[in-house]
Amino acid sequence: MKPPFSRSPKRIATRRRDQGVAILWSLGSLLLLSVLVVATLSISERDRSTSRLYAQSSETKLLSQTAANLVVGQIRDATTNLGISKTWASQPGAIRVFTNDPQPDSNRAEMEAMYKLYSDETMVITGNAFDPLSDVPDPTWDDSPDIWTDINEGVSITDSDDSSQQTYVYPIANFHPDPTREIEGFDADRSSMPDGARDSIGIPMPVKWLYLLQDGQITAPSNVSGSSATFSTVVPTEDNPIVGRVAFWTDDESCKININTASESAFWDTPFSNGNTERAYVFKGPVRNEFQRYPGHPATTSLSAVLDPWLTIRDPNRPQVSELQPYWLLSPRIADGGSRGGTREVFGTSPVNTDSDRIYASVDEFSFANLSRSSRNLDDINSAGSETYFDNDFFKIAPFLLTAQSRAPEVNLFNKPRVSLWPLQLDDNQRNAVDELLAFCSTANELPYYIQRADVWTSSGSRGSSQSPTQDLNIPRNEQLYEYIYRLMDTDIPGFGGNFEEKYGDKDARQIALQMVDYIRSSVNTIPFGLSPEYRFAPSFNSEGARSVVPLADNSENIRGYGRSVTPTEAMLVFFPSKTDGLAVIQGNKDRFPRRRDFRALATEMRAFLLLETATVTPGFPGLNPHLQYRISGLNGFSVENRSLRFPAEAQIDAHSRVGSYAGSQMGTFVGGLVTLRHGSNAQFPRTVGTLSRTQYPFTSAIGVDGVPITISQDPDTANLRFSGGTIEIEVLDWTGTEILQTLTLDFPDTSIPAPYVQTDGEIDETKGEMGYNAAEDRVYLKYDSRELNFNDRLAEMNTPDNIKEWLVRPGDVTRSVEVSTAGDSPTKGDLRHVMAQASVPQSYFAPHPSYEGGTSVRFASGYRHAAWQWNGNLYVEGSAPNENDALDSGQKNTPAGQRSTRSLNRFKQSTRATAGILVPQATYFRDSVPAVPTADPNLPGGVVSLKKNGRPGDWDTGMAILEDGPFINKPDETNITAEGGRDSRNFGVGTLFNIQRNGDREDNGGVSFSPNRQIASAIQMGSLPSGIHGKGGNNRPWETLLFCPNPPSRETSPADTPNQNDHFGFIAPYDHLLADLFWMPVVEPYAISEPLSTAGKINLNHQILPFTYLTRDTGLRAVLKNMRIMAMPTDAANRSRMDPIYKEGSICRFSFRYGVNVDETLEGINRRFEEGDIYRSATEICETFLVPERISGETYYRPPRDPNYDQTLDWWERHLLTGDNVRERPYNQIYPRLTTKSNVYRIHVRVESLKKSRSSTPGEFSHLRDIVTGKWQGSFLVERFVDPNDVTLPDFASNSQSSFDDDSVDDYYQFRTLEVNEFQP
Amino acid sequence: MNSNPEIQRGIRFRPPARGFTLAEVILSMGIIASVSIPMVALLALGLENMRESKGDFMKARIEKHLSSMVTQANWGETNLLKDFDSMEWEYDGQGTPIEDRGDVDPIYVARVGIDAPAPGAPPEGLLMPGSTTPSREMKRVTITISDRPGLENPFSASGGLTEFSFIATRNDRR
Repeated sequence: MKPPFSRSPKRIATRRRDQGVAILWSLGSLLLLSVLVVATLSISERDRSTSRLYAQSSETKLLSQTAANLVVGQIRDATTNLGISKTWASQPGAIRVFTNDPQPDSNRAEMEAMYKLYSDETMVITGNAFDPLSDVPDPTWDDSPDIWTDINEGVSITDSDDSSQQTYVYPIANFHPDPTREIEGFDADRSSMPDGARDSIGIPMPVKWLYLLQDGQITAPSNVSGSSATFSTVVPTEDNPIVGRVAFWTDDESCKININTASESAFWDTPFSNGNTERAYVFKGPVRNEFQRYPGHPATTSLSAVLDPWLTIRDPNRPQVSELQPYWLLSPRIADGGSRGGTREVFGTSPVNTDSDRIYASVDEFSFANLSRSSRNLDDINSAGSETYFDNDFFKIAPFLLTAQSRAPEVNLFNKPRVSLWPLQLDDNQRNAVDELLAFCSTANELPYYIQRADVWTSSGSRGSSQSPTQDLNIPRNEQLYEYIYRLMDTDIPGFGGNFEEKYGDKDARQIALQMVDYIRSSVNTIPFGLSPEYRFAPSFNSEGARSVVPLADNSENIRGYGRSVTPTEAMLVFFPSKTDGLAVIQGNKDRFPRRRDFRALATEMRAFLLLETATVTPGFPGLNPHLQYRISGLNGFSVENRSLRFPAEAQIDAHSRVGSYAGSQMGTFVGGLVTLRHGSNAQFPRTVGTLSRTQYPFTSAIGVDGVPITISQDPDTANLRFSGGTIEIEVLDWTGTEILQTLTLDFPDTSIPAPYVQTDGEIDETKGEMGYNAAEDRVYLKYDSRELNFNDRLAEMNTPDNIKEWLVRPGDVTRSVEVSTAGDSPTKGDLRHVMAQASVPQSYFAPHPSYEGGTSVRFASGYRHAAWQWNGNLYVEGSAPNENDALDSGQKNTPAGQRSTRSLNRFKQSTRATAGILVPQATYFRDSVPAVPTADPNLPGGVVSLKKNGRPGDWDTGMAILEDGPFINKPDETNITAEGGRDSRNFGVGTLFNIQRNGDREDNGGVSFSPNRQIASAIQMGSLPSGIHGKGGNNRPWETLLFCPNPPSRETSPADTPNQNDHFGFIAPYDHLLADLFWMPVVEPYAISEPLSTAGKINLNHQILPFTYLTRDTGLRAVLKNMRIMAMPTDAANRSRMDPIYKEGSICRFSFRYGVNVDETLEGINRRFEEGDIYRSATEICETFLVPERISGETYYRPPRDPNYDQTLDWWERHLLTGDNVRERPYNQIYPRLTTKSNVYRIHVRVESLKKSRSSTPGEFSHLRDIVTGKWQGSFLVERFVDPNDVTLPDFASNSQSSFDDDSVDDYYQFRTLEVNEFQP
Repeated sequence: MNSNPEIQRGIRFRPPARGFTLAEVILSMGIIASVSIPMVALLALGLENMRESKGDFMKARIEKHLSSMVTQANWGETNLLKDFDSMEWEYDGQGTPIEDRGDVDPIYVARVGIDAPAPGAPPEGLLMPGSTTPSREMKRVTITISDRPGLENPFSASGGLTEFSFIATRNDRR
């Protein structure tokens, strides 16, 4: 090996040749140096370049943050420091702030400012005027790239499948390239859309650049076009140069469908008739955890509005399970089971087992959702056989239509917390897990914003606060919340102006506030099941006072609510024969043997007893049977023929019965007997507590003392007995008899009456002679049933409940009643709600029966109704409906006591003409639909009692299922589906809707169907609460309730015009629907969709996109409206000659009363607000918009009118006058809770460039041709405003202190957080 | 040690070879001088580039540090954002804030300005384009970084200044 550094002999020998080596060495060194220097330079340049990029990246990130902060700052400026006098509403691209100063000739207040959430030269518009078209980009925008930029500019990429193909990817939105996969409601008006789209699916969204100066000032170009940007207000200078520019546009996430809350299924509602559709709501109703069918639940918002092109439902009106399953698999915590989208009967089923899928973090995750998301084998469902449901283009369009993060604030227009509609027990130990979550959602800084109940029922000896009128209201926090609601009603409403105290007067404002509090307390969550601990707020179904709740009373204001109880509506005096010899009454030719129908025997003595008819305004389920005491005084003055009837001066009864004793089979076909309007009269007879044994009934002529002698021998109908009455006072007391709940004053005028007689079955009394003939008297004697002569014997018959109709009042009795007045000038006009709501009911609320003064020609002058099936529920009264079937087929045996067997039968007789008033002028009521109103005053045209004081139709409710219509307050449906029984045990008779499948009188012992969110969705449900109990100046307004819909029957103004107060009192500004804004129902199942002060998944009514008004995205609203139904009963629905069977009959009605919603036409109405340049300030304003009905294909409708357009909708409703107020408002109850006008989550789309001014260019201008763009960034920020509910500085927004009330609002406590930052990197 | 005897001899005893001629030396020197001087200058340029690169990195890092602090500052009752105004920070050569000066000499010094007054600008809050009222919820923030902390006034024009500006908004509750 050659050693290193060796020098060869040859080289030594020739060293002379080394001359010049130094130069070579030098050159070598220089070369080395050069390499070193070049390397150093190269490295330094690369470093420099890298560091510059890093610095530029840092700068552009800072710029992008600046852009996002500008938007957040705008949002904050718009949504804070508002106090209780301003409110705001958002839409894509803007937030508007409204004052509480009403605009002239409008029911809305003025806009104070509009804060743009897109970059523009005018970021804040002040004043009331804004033209949404004013900001539409200049058509030549594309020529001025230093002034405008397309925030949605497409970027070309190579198609992954075909490298020769270039496609564009858009950062915000684009259409689907396949026209067959168009999304409903996502479109553009291409005639007004600006140029600049890269391809046919692109949507130019040009906004202006805003320039950032060195000192942080923001300036906008003053020119709208040109090759450079020039400035006028804030002008860049050499010392303060332009350093960057930003452009942004902000989307409102609440305009998108939330993939974590929406799902798909079939519509469900409480049944209001007995048609096939309604029966399907019974048999195939949603069970527990079938959230996608709960009324108003976010899961009823239809994902198919977006996904239908991929997951097609062939007939949306009748979705198949296989079509729904993919949706349920995609939706977190939504599962198959129960009614399976209304396709399966649910008896004997179990609650749905929800899946455990976590909620989606982003739309991308949803788009990639694949079959492995569920353990189920979906091979047969996913016909495409691909790994995901969706194609590549879905990924690109989905983020503009779907969201994983939308939330809306749950504050009212005053920026204060809403009050929860779910009542809870004061004691934490009496709350189940769902209760706790609901409590959490309605608590801020440990202060509850929900109504509490002092105690629950545990036994007959421990009945809880439901049986006290004051115990719950005395809870300090309840007192505060009651006062809070009243104060909010007494404060000018931001966004609208005016207040309810001015509109209704102080007394009615308080009355409405108390009604609402009591409605929450009494109408929902009375018997929850399936969750531990189980509790009963109202007494158990088989205990005294079953399911009743005593009305809440504000004694300081002398007002009260309704609870779930009864009020006396009629006092009936029954004169009955107490002694007879059996002497037959013979009419006509006495030589002739009396005809069977004349088998009457003369009485020789008479007595009397008084019966109270009581009524509830909360019929429905569960069954109701209050335990009350009644004290009556003043009866002792009553006499006949100047002989005292010997009533006690004052007496008191303890009246109760147990639902369980009379429910089910004992009631036979008389289903609903104890749940219908009229409280069972058998309940008023005193009992020993806990048993069925009766004690003495005191409101009778003195027992054991002779009655009033009757010394007539002629026809008792012609006897003229003089009755002297007087004023009586009825006091309704609580079950202990210590607390007076209500006092009523009634006056019985003096009058003439015929004589009572004894009804016999015509059997001759042979003991009096042959064939009963007494020759001396020339008269026939008849055998009689002595039970008829003795009140206690009559009463004994009531142990067989049906006998009450036959034995309590007999054909030979005489009745005289004083009942709730229906006279046109009376305070009530038969509206029983007005009686129920009065603590002291004056005499003027009652009137003698119209036939009271009929003299001897009128035997029965009463409208007394028994709590049985409607048409045979009347006791013996004039003009009762004939039961033609019984009479024709069964003779007298089963004839209801209220029927005269001798009446000529008229198959289609209008049964209520004589027994009760009617509700709809044009309607003819068959026997099964007798409205729950008192006897009509004879001066009322057509017997219509329900007209308002201006003569227009009034507000009444359609009864649940086959219950009668009447003056109700829309009791929430607490009905459960039993876990017991099944198809075999089903009774397909009239009981089907109630006792068996709906299990109205029994408790859901399996917890199969109970859920808070199924019972109540929103305060729209309170729309049947009267609004004029007292009236301004004492001028009360019967048959007028809170108005939560645009189509009350009294409206005559076209949908195209603004309604007025003649159309309804609720149309006086502020409109009634704004009351619903004060409340909310947190959604806590299947997971906490609601949090304190916010709820996810609500859709913004304000879908108009600013400034890109040429772009339409109302898909979210379509998702809300898509599966909705409108119920409407034709005016002929109660007329048997037109509709057989009628809508309330036990037999199944073959017609459907449910219509779909014409979404296009309805949106036409919704969009009119935008065309006016305005937006919706409150989601309750949906109640001003007509839902346009359309027939559902395949359904059978009664003489259906043509489907209307928006402006024809009122005419359409004119043909459906038999539709109650509650049913008209019902769709809004399902729609409103899924809507909002405020968003908490915004996606800010940002495009920024860091800039460097060229030394040679003018400092006051910027041109991309002369100046330098040093960095770019494009992407989006997802930001959320939120309140920390545990913030210890949160004040008590419901404080009793006026100054705190005026000063404290939630808006100042909002914080912001960034949920996502996405860089656009196609 | 090398075992080649010839080499060993050469190293130890061979007289040095004849040196370079003057001409060679002069020529070499000339070449070296004419080429290396610009080379060295270029080297200096490269080094300056590297220094500036580092400076860019460090300033970007300092900007991030300060902007995130300002962005996250509480605007609430304690009004901490106000405290940032005119506050100065010193950083070492790695862009790390110097908490305790001690023996460490700062390499960079930075100052934050909140709503720095500018001609025609309101004293507080950001005036959005087209608006006449400054925003309550946004503030202009400038970050000025000097790499000459030794100067009496490092934020003067000769201070090797880098300036950043952005808009901060309130994230906490009012």
